[in-house]
Amino acid sequence: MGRPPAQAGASDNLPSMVVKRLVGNALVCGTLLWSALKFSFEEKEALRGARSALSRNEAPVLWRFGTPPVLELTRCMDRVRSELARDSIVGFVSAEGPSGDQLFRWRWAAFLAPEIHLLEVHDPVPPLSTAFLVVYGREFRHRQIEPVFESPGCSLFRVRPVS
Amino acid sequence: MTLPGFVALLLLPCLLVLLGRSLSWATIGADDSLPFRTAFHGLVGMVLFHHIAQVLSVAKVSWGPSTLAFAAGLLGAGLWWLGRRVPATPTRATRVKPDWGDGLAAYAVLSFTALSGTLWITTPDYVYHWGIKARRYFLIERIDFEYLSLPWNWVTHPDYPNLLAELFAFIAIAAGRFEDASAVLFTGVFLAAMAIAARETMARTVASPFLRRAGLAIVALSFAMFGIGQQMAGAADWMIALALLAALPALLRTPDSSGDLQIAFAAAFAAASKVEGVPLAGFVVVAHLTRRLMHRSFSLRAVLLIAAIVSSVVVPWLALVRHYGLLQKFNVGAFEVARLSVVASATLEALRLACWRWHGFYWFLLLAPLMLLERRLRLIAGVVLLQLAFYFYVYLTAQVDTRFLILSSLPRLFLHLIPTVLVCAVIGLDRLIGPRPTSPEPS
Repeated sequence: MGRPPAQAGASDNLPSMVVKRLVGNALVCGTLLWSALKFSFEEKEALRGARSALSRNEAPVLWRFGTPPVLELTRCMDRVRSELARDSIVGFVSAEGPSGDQLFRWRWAAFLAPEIHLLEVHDPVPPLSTAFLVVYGREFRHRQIEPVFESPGCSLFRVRPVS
Repeated sequence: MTLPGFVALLLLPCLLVLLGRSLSWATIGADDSLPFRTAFHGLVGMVLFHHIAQVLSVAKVSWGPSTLAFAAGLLGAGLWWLGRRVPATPTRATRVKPDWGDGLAAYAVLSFTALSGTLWITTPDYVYHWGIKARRYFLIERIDFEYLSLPWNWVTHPDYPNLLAELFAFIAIAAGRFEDASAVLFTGVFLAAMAIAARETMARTVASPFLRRAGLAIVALSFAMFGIGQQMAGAADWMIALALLAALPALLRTPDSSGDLQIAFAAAFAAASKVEGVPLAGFVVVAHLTRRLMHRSFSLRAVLLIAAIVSSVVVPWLALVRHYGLLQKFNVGAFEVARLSVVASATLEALRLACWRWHGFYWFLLLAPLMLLERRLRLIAGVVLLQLAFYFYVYLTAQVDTRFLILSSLPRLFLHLIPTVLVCAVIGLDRLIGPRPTSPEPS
C-alpha cells in the first residue's frame, strides 16, 4: 500500500531540498572563489605589465600606451604637428612588416595627430598626391619630396606636385 | 592627469545624473533603490546628452562649455516642466545596507578603474575608433561628419553611433584639454552602473541573501576580470552590457508606465552606443511589449512612447549615416550558408585561443537556452539568444575575413551578454534551492 501523496512528498522533499541547497551553494562558492582567484590573477598581471611598460618593445599590433615605441611615435608626431596647419593632408609611410605593422603604426600616428588628415602610403609609391609626407622608421627617397625636417627615424617632407 | 581633467571627470557623471533626473517623474518605479535611481538617471542623462550633442553638431554649433550647459539646462528644465503636475513617485524602497557582496563588487569596479588610469588596459579600439573620434570632435567642438566621411577614415568605423566619443570629448571640453586618462577612466562609471543594475535585479528577485551577495560579487568580479585582462578600458562594449542589465528590473516586474520608460531609455542607450546596440534595442523592446501582452496590459500609448524614444536615437543616426555616406560596404553582404563551416571552426578556435580571458565564464552562455524553461526568465533568454544569433548572422554576411573577425570580436561580444546571463543564473538557482521570495514578482 502506498503512502499518501502529501506524506510521501514531505518525507522525500526535505532531504532532496537539503542536498539541492548544499550542491547549489557549493557551486556558487566554487564560482565565487574561481572568479576571485582569476580576478586577482588579471589584476596582478596588469600591474606587472604597467610597471614594466618602459621595457616593452612589441610589434605595432600589440602597442600600448606608455611603451617605448608609442612614446617614440608620440615625439615624432608632436614635432610633425608643430610644423603643419590644421587639416593638412599628409601621407604616412613606415616599414612594412608582418601582422600589418604599417597599418597599426599609421592608426597610432593618426590618433596622435587628429588635427591633420593622415593617409597611409604603401610601397611601391605612386605619384604622391598629399601636400606633405611623414616618413617613420625607414629610409625613403622619392623625386617629389623635399625635407621640412629630417631626424633619425622621423622625417617630414613637403611634396612637390607632379610637373 | 591634470587637476582640471580630474575635476571634469568627476563633474560629467554628476551633470548627467542631474540631467537625467529631470525625467525622474516618468522613469523611476516605486521600488527602485536610490543607487539604481541614480544609475538610471545617469543613463537617461547620457541619452539626452547624446541628443544635445547631435543636434548642435547638425546645426554646426560649437560645443562650448556654456553652449552645452545652456542646452542641457534648457532641455532639463523643459522635461521637468512637462512633469510638474505628475505626482511624485511614492517610494517604497528601503535604505540599502552594504554587505560583503557590495564590498567585493565595489573592489572589482574600483580596481578596474584604477588600472584604467594607468592606460595599460586601454582597448586598442580606443586608439583606432573612439579616442581618435573624440580627439577630433574636441578639436572642432562638434561631431565632424565631414572627417568621418573621408574615404581613408573607413578604419574608424565612421558609421557607428557617437555617444562614447561625445562623452570623451565633453570631458576634454570641460577640462580645456584632451587627456586620455580622463577619457578612459570614465569607463569605471559604466562598470559601477552595471554592478548597481545587477544588484537591483537580484535584490528584487533572489530570496536567499547568500545567493544575492555571492551572485553580485561573481558578476562584478567576472566582468572586471575580463575587462582588465582583455584591455577593455575605453571600450563601448560596456555600454551594451549596461543597457541590457539596466533593462532587467523592468523586464522582471509587472509591466508599468515607469517600466516602459526604463525599457525605452535602456534601448535608446544601447542604440546610441554601438551598431550592435540597435538590434539589442529592438529585442528588448519586443520582449517588454510581449510581457505587456501576456499581462493583458498592452497599450498603444506605451508602444508609441517607447517607439518615439528609441526612434529619436535610431532615426537620426540612420539619416546621418545615409546623408554622409558613412555606411561601410564591408559591413553588409549576402547571407552565405557556405561560410558556416568557417564560422564554426573559427568560433571553436576563438573559444580555445581568444576567449581565455573569460577564464571559462563564457560557458555560462550555455545556460541561456535552459533559461527558456524558467517562465520569468524566458523573454530575457530570448533577448540573449537573439542577440547571439545576430552576431553569428553578421559573421555569415560581413564582407571581411571571417576568421579574423570572429577571433578579434567574439570575446568582446560575449561581454554584452555574460553579465546578464550570470544574473539570470543566480535568479534561476534561487528558484531551485532558495527559500520562496517574500515579495514575488510575476513574470
